[in-house]
Amino acid sequence: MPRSDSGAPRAFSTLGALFAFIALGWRRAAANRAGILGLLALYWLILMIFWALWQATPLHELRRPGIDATRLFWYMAVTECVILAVGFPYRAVEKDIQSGEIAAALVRPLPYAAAILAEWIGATGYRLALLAVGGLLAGIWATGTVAIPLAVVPALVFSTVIATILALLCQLQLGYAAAWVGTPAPLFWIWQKLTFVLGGLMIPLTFYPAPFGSLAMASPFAAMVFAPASFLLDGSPRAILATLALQLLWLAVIGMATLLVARAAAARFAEQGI
Amino acid sequence: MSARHRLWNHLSYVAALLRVNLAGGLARPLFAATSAAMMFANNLILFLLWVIYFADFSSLRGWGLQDLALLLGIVAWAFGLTVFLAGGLRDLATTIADGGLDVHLGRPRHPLPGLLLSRSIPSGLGDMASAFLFWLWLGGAGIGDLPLLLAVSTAAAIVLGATLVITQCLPFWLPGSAALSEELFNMLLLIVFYPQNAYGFLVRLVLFTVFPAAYIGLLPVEAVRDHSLIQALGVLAAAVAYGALAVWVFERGLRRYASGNRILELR
Repeated sequence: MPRSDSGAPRAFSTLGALFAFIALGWRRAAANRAGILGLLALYWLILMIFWALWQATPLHELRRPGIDATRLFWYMAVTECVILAVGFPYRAVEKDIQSGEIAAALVRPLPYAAAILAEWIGATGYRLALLAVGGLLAGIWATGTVAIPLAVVPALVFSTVIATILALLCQLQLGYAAAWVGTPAPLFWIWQKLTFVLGGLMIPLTFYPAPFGSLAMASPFAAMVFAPASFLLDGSPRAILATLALQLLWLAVIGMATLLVARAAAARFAEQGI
Repeated sequence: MSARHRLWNHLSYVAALLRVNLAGGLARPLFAATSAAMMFANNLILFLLWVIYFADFSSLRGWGLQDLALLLGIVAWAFGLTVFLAGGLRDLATTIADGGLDVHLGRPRHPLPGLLLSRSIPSGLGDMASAFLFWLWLGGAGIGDLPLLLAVSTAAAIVLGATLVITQCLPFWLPGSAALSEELFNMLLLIVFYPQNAYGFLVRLVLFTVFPAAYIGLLPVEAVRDHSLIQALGVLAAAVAYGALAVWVFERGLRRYASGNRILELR
């Protein structure tokens, strides 16, 4: 008689549970209508602020052909879409640790980290889809065009998915940091601002002075923010492949680091309690 | 009881609340110091964005890197002072939604000071400390400018606090809007941290009225840049007006409050 807890059936059951968590995250995000409305308004506001800023900026001083306010608007539409879709989910892990609720979650058959990450992916996916439509509408309204070459759209979508997963993995680590530091908010602020600066949230990393620009481009922050938006500035196959390869490399590294942090936190809970 | 005695009585109550609040905020000195240091570093990293911007561009509609430093200093002071002294305003919407006002309504005092001074966020100290670095080192201001800087920045803190009170009162009228209040807070923060001199007339009109970010960022910076008494008085007048408006909105909302507010939230 086949054992139900081994091999393929177990893998299917785990996958089924993960998809259920993804669906749960999606539904929860969709149910928070006031929050979604506020998020969309915040996104539009950011885009309008930077539209005004880039229009007021003497861009001719850059001496780079093809760079104008329209192009930079669309660049920001992508970077901000990723940042806002991800949000601050680390607080959920922090709350679970501070309240002790994580104890119940740790004994479930599906690992806590996998379950919460799946739920976040669902919620982020919903917000990402909504913000993408919102950004598209805002972009057409403000600039009168869509400055995203059709050929880069598949790479842009794939890269955005990797970027958001990378950011979620970092947020998971930040949430777990509550096991050691109690309140990880100060760590989050630093991580967030590094994402803004080294990720090229506002100004493309290609505009940064050397060697700061090259260093930033090789960092994981660039893989989270700059990577998808960079296709709007350089959509050559070579640039796309190099960017995606770097993103996948960071995905492997940060994924492994998250696994280690989750294990270390679980070991700490087992030894010292929550 | 004479008016003078009533005022003294009220000020003593606020001072007592502040004492307890700050003692609570600083009860874990190591955490408070770490939070403040991280916030200090956080503000400096944010400034890096503008260093990079002005490495590429000569000015932003007449503003340079020093003006941006003045702006960041003023906003950091305003935000830091607000959350360090009155961190409870960050929880106001949740308190209203959860029916948590009951505790405050049972007291023989106006509930607003008790609510606002119920928590102190120690990272605010880092914001306030970074303000001096932005003003005196990066912003090129002198020691002589400090009284004006402190006056307009403190007035900006009152406008910021008042605006937050108004947005956090949304759950009185709109059940389930605590998340929206948080987004409105993020919006205000976002607007004030970026230079508002780049906007056109209509946007500026909004920033001087409905969403008073101009009194927190633009006008205080212009007052210091131009050493303008009129502009400084404009910020102080805005602090009085928006402070009074916040109290009025809160009291209007309070009339709609019932302790079973949570039921409305869950409906």
